[in-house]
Amino acid sequence: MPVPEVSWFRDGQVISTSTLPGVQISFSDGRARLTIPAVTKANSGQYSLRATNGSGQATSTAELLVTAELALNHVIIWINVLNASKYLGYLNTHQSPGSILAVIGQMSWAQGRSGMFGSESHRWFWNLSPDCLKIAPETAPPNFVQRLQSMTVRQGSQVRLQVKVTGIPTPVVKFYRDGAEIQSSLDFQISQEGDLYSLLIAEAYPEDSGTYSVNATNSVGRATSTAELLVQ
Amino acid sequence: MATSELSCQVSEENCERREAFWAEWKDLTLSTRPEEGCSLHEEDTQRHETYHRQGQCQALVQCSPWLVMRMGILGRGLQEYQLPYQRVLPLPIFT
Repeated sequence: MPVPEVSWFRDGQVISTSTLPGVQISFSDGRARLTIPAVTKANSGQYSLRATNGSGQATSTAELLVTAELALNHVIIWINVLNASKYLGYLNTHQSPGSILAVIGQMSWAQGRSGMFGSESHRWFWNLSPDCLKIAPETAPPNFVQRLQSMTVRQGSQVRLQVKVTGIPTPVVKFYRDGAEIQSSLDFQISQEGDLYSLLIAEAYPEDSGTYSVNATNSVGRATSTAELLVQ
Repeated sequence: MATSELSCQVSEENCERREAFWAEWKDLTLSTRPEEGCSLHEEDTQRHETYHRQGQCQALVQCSPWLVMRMGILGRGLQEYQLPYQRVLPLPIFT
């Protein structure tokens, strides 16, 4: 007491609307909030909040790391400074679903919650602890929910080789026969419907027999499913 | 700062059905955040007391083919997300 005056810094420089366009800064009921409406890679840096009053000052620093050149909806750093600048000496963390709460010392505290934000095409997770902020893209390696299955068919029949593949970002899926990539044609028609990929052989001949495989690849992984087709 | 990447591999072969499966993916990334990014400094000029603390922290991000993502600060617990993460836009970030 009295209520401290607060100011924000990025890499030691005072933050204002001219140095950080679109920034929203608020401070009420002891809650100081800095909002960057659409972050870019250039916004990465050390963000500090300084609270000052007659009896002293307190500074809390967090790192904002933006890992790709993408416009994001919101990043908010907030730190409660109502009772800042008193006794410190221990760090205690508690966990509750979806949030991380840290009690620093006896009277000052900071709170962050885990969550997700993003645009329509990209989603990003953030996870805020009082002194560390990490953002990573939503990713999942390719997975074959439905694999290729070996089969034996009669000459002249129609054959459908089908797989179901998930992954974020959407994997690139390719069909192979005996190691050679199959190009979609009237006789060997490759199609996609959602996460279902199929190779339709209009009319199977004995020379179509062989080892068929499907490869799915995205930025975080790849997977291959292989099966045999025998045309009698 | 060192970053560790751990990948996973799965290889299966079904001789009876003449089927095979193989997968490889980047499973876990552990990155060290610099000390300056995790610091706290306080001064009480009335009582002539100061306090400064800084330390590295390790950010962990894990993804898996089963559409589960985990992330958090090492030693402070992980948050798990079922993908694709469903939340209606526009997003309330702090609720």
